[in-house]
Formats: sequence, C-alpha cells, structure tokens
Amino acid sequence: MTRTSTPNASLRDAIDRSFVERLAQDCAFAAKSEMMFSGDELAPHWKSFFEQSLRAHHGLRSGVEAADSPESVESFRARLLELNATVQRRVADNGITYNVYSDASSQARPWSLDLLPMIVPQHEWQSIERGVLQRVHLLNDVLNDVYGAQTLVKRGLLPTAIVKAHPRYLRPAHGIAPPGGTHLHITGFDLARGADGTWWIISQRTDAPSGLGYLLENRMIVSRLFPDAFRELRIERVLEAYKGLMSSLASHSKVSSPHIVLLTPGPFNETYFEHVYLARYLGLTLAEGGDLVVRNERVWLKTIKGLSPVDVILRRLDDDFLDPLELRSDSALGIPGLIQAYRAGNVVLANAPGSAWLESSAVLAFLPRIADALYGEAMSLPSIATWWCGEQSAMQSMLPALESLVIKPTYSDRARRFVPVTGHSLSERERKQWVARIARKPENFVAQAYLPLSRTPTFDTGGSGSVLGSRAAMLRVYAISDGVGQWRVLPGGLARVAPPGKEIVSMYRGGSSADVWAVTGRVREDRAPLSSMLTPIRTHQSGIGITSRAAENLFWLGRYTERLDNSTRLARITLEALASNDEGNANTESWLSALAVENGLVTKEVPTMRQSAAVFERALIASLADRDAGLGAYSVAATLQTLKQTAFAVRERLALEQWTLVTASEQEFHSTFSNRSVSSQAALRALERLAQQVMAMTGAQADRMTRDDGWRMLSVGRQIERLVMLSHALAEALEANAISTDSGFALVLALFDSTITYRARYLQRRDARSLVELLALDRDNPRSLAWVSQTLQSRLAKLDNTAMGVLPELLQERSLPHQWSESLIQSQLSRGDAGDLAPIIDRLKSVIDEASGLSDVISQRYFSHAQRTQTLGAGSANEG
Amino acid sequence: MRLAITHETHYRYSSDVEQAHHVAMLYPLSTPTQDLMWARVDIYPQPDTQSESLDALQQRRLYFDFSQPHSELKVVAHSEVITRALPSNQQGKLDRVAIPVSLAWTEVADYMRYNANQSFDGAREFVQSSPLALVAPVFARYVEDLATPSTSVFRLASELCQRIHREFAYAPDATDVDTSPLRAFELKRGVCQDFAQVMIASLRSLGLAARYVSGYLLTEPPPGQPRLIGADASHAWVAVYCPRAGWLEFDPTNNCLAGEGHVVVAYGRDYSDVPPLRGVIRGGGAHTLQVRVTVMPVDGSTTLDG
Repeated sequence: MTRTSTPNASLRDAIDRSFVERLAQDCAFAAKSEMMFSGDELAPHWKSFFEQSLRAHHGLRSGVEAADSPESVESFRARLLELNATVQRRVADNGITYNVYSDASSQARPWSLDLLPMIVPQHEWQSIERGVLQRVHLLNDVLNDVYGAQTLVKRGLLPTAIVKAHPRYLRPAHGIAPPGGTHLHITGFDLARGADGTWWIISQRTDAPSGLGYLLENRMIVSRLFPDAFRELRIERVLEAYKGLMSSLASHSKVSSPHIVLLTPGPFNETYFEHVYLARYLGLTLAEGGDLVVRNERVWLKTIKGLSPVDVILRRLDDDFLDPLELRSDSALGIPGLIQAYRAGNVVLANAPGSAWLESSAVLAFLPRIADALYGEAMSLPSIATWWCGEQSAMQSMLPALESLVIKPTYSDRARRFVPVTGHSLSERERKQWVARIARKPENFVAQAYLPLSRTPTFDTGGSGSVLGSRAAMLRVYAISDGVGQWRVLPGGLARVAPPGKEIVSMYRGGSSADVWAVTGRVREDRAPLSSMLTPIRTHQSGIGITSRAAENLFWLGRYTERLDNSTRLARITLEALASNDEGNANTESWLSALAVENGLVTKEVPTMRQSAAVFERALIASLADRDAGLGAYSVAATLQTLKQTAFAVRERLALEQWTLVTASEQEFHSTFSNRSVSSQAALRALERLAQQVMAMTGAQADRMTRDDGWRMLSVGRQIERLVMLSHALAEALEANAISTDSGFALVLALFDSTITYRARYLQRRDARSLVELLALDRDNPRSLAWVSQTLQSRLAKLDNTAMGVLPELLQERSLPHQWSESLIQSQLSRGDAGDLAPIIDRLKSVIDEASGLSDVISQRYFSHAQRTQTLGAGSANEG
Repeated sequence: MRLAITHETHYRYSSDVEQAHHVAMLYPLSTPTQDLMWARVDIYPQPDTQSESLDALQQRRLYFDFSQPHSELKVVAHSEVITRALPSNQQGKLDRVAIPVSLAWTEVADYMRYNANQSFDGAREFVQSSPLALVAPVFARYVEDLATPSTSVFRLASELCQRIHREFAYAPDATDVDTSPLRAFELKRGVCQDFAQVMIASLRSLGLAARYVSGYLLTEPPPGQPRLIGADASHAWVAVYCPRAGWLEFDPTNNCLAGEGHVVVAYGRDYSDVPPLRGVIRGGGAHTLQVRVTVMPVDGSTTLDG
C-alpha cells in the first residue's frame, strides 16, 4: 500500500470529475448535504476524506492508478457498503444499546450509528470551541451567583420566575459553594448549523448530560474504518479529554487520591449501557443509590469488606432524585443525607446539584445581557434567537411572528410530553389557539427562531440501493472541567441525525448518531496507531471490595445458573424416562415425580408419573416454557427468565459474551415453545440445546472471569445450590429405593452427571455403597457432595480472609459431606442392604438445612439488605 | 404576649430502624411582629451527627442522623416568644376587618410580572407553582368572581379566606401531609395545611404572591376548664403579598388575620419547604406517631404593642 502525503494526480482527477459527479448524482436521490458541498464543489475536508479512503481502498487492491477507471466509483461504493455492514456488526458485537422506555416491549435497542463521520473543519471548530468555553464559564458563574449572592436576579438580569420558580432550582442547594466553585464538570451543548456555515447553540445540557460513552464507542468504530483519512485530516483524539476529566475531578477533592464512583439510576435507565461502559473505561466503581450511604456527613460505599469512603460522585442520576431527605421524597434512587454531605464539603458531586434549571430554553434569552453585564462581552457563539414569553415586551413582539417560531416549555419536561411546536406547521386556527394559550400563562412558554438544520452526509442503504445522502443533524459538544476554574472542549462530539425525511433530531424518537471529527488545528502529525481496544485510563482502585449489591446479584446469578443446569438435566432425564418403552418401575417413578415437584417442573397437584404418565408429561412440557410461572410451577423458562434479570442487574461485571449467551438462549428456548403443542421429542431437543448453552455459560464463568471476590460469590452461589439440589435428590433416591433397578440406578448417576466416572471406577457393579461413595463422599468427583462442600469452604475462606472472618468457623459447626467421617459412613454401608440406609438419608437431609442456613448467613453478612426506606413527614396527626 | 411552646414529636417503630436521616424546622423565627427569646431542640436517642444550617430564606434548619439501631425517636422543641397583638380593628372574624391601604389586585399582579427594568422584590418567587401548591385552572375559577379588576388585594384575599372557611369542612382524617390542594379542593375537606395550600394556589392562579406559614396557634380552653398540656396543634396559614404593606397573614382555618396567638416557625412556598420534622428511615416496620403541642402564655407576660 502506497502512503504518500500528496495524492496521485490521476486520483485527484478522478475525485474531481467522475467521483464528484457521481456523488452529486447520488445526493440528488436524497438531498445534498451543505456540510459536504459548497455549491457544486466538494468541501476540501470531504475531498480529502474521499481521497484518503479511495486510496486506501485501491491501494489494497491494484494500486492508485485504478482510481480513474469509471468502475472505481462503483467499487468504492461497494466498499462503503461493506464498511457500513462492519459498523452495524460492531455495534451489535459491542452490545451497544439504548433503552427506550416508550417501547412497549421495553427491550434495549441497538445503538444506531452512521458510517460517515460529521467532519467539522478548522475554522468552524475553532469558533465553536471559543464560544463553548466562554459559555461554560458564564454558566458556571451564573450558578455560583444564583446559589449565592443572587445579584443577577436582584439586578433584573434574570427573572425570578425562571430561576427560583423553576422546579429544578434546588432550594436546599442554596448557600452551598461546591468545591473550587465548580458546578459544571460535564456540560453538553446542542448546536445546529445554518446553511451559511454558522453554528448556533440550540440547547444546553447542564444536569447530567449523556453521550460521553456513546461518543467513545462511535469513535472507536468509525475512526478505524477510515484510518488514513483520520490521520491526513489531522483529527484530534478524544482520550486526553477523558483523562483530563478524571484528574480534574480528583483535583476538586480534599483527598489526594480520591475514590470516585459513577452513580447510575440502574439498568432500566435509557443510557445504562454507557454508564457501564464509562465506569469500566474510566476505572470507576459503578454504584446505584442503594450502594451508597451517608454517615457522619460522609458518603460511603457498601462493599463486602465493609464501608469504604467515597470522595467524588460522577452522577448520571438527575439532581432532584439525589436525596429523598431534602429533594424529591419519592426518589428511591437517591441517597438520604447526600445533600448534607455535600453541604459539609465532604463530597464532590459532578455536576453539582441544582444546575438543571439552566437547561430551560428561557435561560438562553438572558445570557447575552448577563455576559455583557459580567464580562462586557458579547456571546461569541450565540444561541439561536430566543424569547421568554414571560417578558411582556418579548411576548408582544413575538406572538405575531409565531409562524416562523418554535414554541418550547419554560419548565422541565421530564416526561417529554411537550413536543416543540413549529409555528409553520400549524393551521391558522391552531396558531390562534396557541397565541391564546401563551397569553394565558406566558411565563410557561419560550419561543425560538426556526432554523432549518444543516444536513450531514450519510450513507443510506435504503430501498433504492445505497446512496450518499444527507440528513438533518445536530451536534452535541462537551465542555469538561480541567482543574479549578478551567474547562476544555472535548475535541469531537456526538452528532445526532434525524430519521430520513424528518427535521426533528432525537435519539429518543428514532434518530441515529454519527462520529464527529474535529479539525482543531492542534494535531501536527499523528502516527500513533488507532487502538482497537480501550484500556481503562485509570486502574480500578484496588483494595475496595465489590459492592454488596453486586455480590448479592452474583451470588444469585450463581444459584440460578446452577438451578437452570439442574432443572434442565432433570427435565431431560424425566422426559427420557417417560419416552422409554421400559415398563416403569414404581420406585423410580415416584422418585422422579417427587423430584419434579420439588424442583418446580410440575406443581404438586399434577398426577404422578405412576398415576398418569400422559398427564404428567403434558404438564411438564407446558411448564417448561412458562416464563412467568403462570401455571404455578417454577420451571426451566421461569428460571431462565430470573437468571436473565439477575445477569442484567450485574451486567457491568460480566463479559459481553456472557450476557449475550443468556439473552440468546432465553430467546431461542422461548421461540421453540411459541408453538402451542410441543412434542416430547421437540422439548427434549430444546432441552439438549439449552444444556449446551448452559455449559457455555458455566464455562464462561469459569474461564472468563477474574478470580476476585465477585467470582467467588458466584461460585459460592453455585455450590450452595448444587449442594441443596443433589443432597435432596440423593436422599430421595435412597429413600424411595429408586436404585433398586438398573434403569433407576442409571438415572441417579445421570442426574449427578457421573455416569462415566462411575463406570470407569466400578464397572458393572451396582450397589448403594458404591453410589454413596462416588456421589457423596468422593472428593475428586466435582459432582460429589463432598467435593462441592469442600470447594464451598475454600471459596468462603478466601472471601473471608480479610474482614469478617468467622465464616470458616461457622462451617466447622455444620455437618457437611466433606467433613463426614468416612469410616463411620462405610461401617453403616458395609452391610449393604437398604434397611441400613436410614442414617445416611438423615445426614443427606441435614445437608439441605445446613446449606440453606449457610445461604442465610452469607446474605446477612455480605449483602446490603436493601430494605425499603420510608419517608416520614411529621405533623399530620395533630395539625390545625 | 409572651408564649412558651413545647412541641413533642414521638415516633415508635415496630422493628428497629437501622439508619435514619432527619431535618427539623422547629425554631420559631424572629419577625417584625414576633421576638424569639430562646429555643432548644432535644433529641432522643442521641443522634450520631447533628448540624445546623440556614435554608434559602435564612431560616434555621437542624440536620441529624442515626446509624445505630433504635426503636423510637423523640424530638422535643422548647421555645419562648413574644408576639405582638394586631391593632384592635384587625382582630376578630374577617368580615369585620378592613385594611384601608391596599392596592388593586390587578396592579399587584402586574407588579409581580417580570420586566427588565424593575427593582428587585423577593416576593416574586412565590408567584409560580410549587410542589404542593400547583397552579391549576380550577383554582382560577374558584376565585374568579371575587376578582373584579378594582378589588383590593386585601379584600380579595379576605373574601377568599372567608369562602374557604365557609365551604371546607375541617376533617383531620380526610387528607395527609402529601395531599395536593387539588385533591383537598375536590374533597372540600382537610386540615389547616390543606386550606392554606388551596388558598395559596388560588391566589397564585391570579398572578399574586402567596406563601405558606408554618407555626403554632394559642388556643383558649373552653370556659371554666383548665388548659390541657399537649392539646394544641402545630398550625399553618397563608401570607399574601401587597407591595408597600408587605405580607398580610390570613388564617383560613379560623377565618381571621394572624395575630398574637399565631407563632411563626417558618415561611415556604408550601408545606414541602418547611415540614417541622422530616426523615428517611431504613427499617422500622410500621410506626406510630404522637405529636403533642403546648402553647402557654407565660405569667406576667407583657405585650409588644407600640
């Protein structure tokens, strides 16, 4: 591949002539992008983009000269199509999702990413950067003022009605100065570009702006597809800004190496994917409100090693939900007392609570006056013309011009009920109604000039084949704190692209996104390889235990995985026994029936196999697929569903493929049974398939997870579940004398997955003693009870060797299989006939209680006991 | 009048509370018509942390928390205040009271609206909706016929106050602390807090500034009976703003102006800004709550008129 810095003349010609013509032709199908063209000319940065990409493309094949052949455009288009497919595959592979609440199925939806980046040329970027820096300084000063001296309101520069009457002006934050006077650590600005190339601020995201994780993912995917163009255009990399944010957060803390957590509302939030992603990448603990607690005006993380102090909270939870004591009392996501800890100066909150009211469009109308009053400056990057209707003079001048305006709400609109109304889309009658509505409550409304959005180039693979088209787009850029009193603009951004033919840009309403390439003018030469993997920029703080919540979820993930494994196996064995032509043995059948009830495969109302094999089988198959346990039995599909929910709650600790495995097997299993009548054979096949998938899950748990406390919790969960299930199964088998026949004996071995081991060791022998030896006492067979309880003990010992190390002693007090004196058991078994099995059966049964008791002790010791909080507001009982 | 106040709040929990965070607003204010002599808040059991700060209106609030299990919480606020009596022509039932100097409500509403050149007035933050006093069309309709353009703001508020007193039934079990004025309005029942919030929402629907007053009321025992300790109540009423005259305080529960029997603890946009004691607890099971308030004239008290 040739890499020279000036493109070959023939290539340039090709781009100038045929390529541009073809592009323009393409664009005629859709609409021409003003960002890519100026008039009929391809803008220089786009020309360069195509030159580099073409050259790389042809360089890969037959050299630069091929570019001037007429087919080259066609083949380049084919190449773009390939690359586009790569984008979609990577999005899927990386598991990038965006949850949409409005979606009835409430499934996470794949993130939508366009192939082509939005390229912002140097002169445009520099004016954006200058303007954003000025603006973030100004907004931060405004916040310091309105929560402090309040001179802006007193001087009439800001109306009381849009500050103190705004529901997101947080009165409890009044009088609190955040560390370093920094309210805003991450601020997002939504910009739109006019056709003339001027950028305007449309809105400001000052509370807890989303997008920094998606932005990184977009960059990782798109830059690698056009590495030459990326280098030649001297696109600045974004990683420094993230590192800068981390050191800036640290520099605001009183502590020299602070513990920083990322506070998420949890897995049901629409942008949860990026909370997980950012936490991993930034090396932060991902915490939900319930993981944190305030004591002595300090914030602590609940971990399995006890409480660990938290110094900085990067929050993705809306500020009014942060503290049910002082803010919204109905918030179950917050941390009681957090505002007091913040007031006491013991925690950095990024962003500081109380900044969300700045997101009101009404604020934009007042910033020019404030900038003038405070700095004697004009806004270098202006907001789109905005009027707050609560200002009478503004309302009167603006109402007649409603046709050319967009109406927005003054106050926050979390439910997104208020879709901005564009005046020109209204009928005469509707317009009159709006005028009247605004006049009734003018302070509730804001009017903004309507700006047709500039179009960014897109590669559309629509109905008429793939074309280079364009779509309306907005650009979100980020100002990031850079030490006390300083900010930097992240060089890049998140372009949000409207659906085809639409002018409204919203990820929520079905748009897509594009990577943003900023030509900042700072990059001289860039030879560093584009990395394909993100290595965390900060190693996770060592010595901090995993959160109690994560521990609890992992414990249960272990239990459910094991339960799924066991019930899948039991269901198979039972169906096979039903299908076999053997004359059923009463003992075996009663054993299997009892196990099926005990393990949730059928309800106890269902006739036993002996009573009616057909009814039993039908009930068993019906319950297999019953996800919601509506039939009363808690069978395979229900376990799988719970397993999925548990895995979802702890997704941040699982490798992507582990999660994908769970969702894929859940879907597959479910779809097999979507058909009403499933034959026994089909059910067996589905169970066999599921068994393989479960094996892959347990394999991934064993091979792919770091051996940390989290993994130990998962393992402990699995061993406990296995101990309970197998002890019970064995005790029942012995009690029901299910092992008296060859087939019964084989079934017990199959259930323990020990058929081959047994044969290898005991050949054709078939007696209770050998069975108990292998399945209960053997310490080398991983399916034997002794092995399981021994493993359990060693995991618990490791888990516990730090703080609260009493568990091993607790284990000592319990009678678990690996502690049984073998000689004692042997003597009981030596006489060989079934009558003497009673003491063994009793022991096995006691294991069930011991294991359940142990589960309770672990839960008491390690888990958070997220008892629900209650809110008290005294005084009602005796009020006047 | 010199008044001694004891306000005891006692929670008993059916199971231990593991963790609790509380904020109390229990110190009476010093205002132009009320002097706070002293105040003290006792908390049992002893909290782990206790710290005082000022809210957005410079009113004292007390934060405290517990991380030790406890089965009850008792908070007792003691204080003494000296209150000033209203002029004699402003005492008694509202229909006999008139304040001559009062602007037309329309002028006041105009004054409340923003324009860039106006001088600052802190009252303007009490014009918009707040969590428990949402401005809604029903309130505008409720007050509509009283609001002829020339009606003075005093007259308007007074008639509204009388109307609420007349039309709403006092019913302690009909509502609770979170009841919205909309609900109380539908029910036409409630307690002082509901009456106050209905009145606030109605006044705000006209563009007037109204705020919530949390406090106590001295009640007179029936003739011939001794004063009962703990039989009084925490109380709530309404302040409406009139430029020049300042905040005029109406008590819709008792159909009168707030006078020397009214003790102010805190002002807010509605109850949610100034609950006497709030908390978030973990654990605790079910709880019982007992509140006892005693407002008692101190012997040999002097009045502050003049």
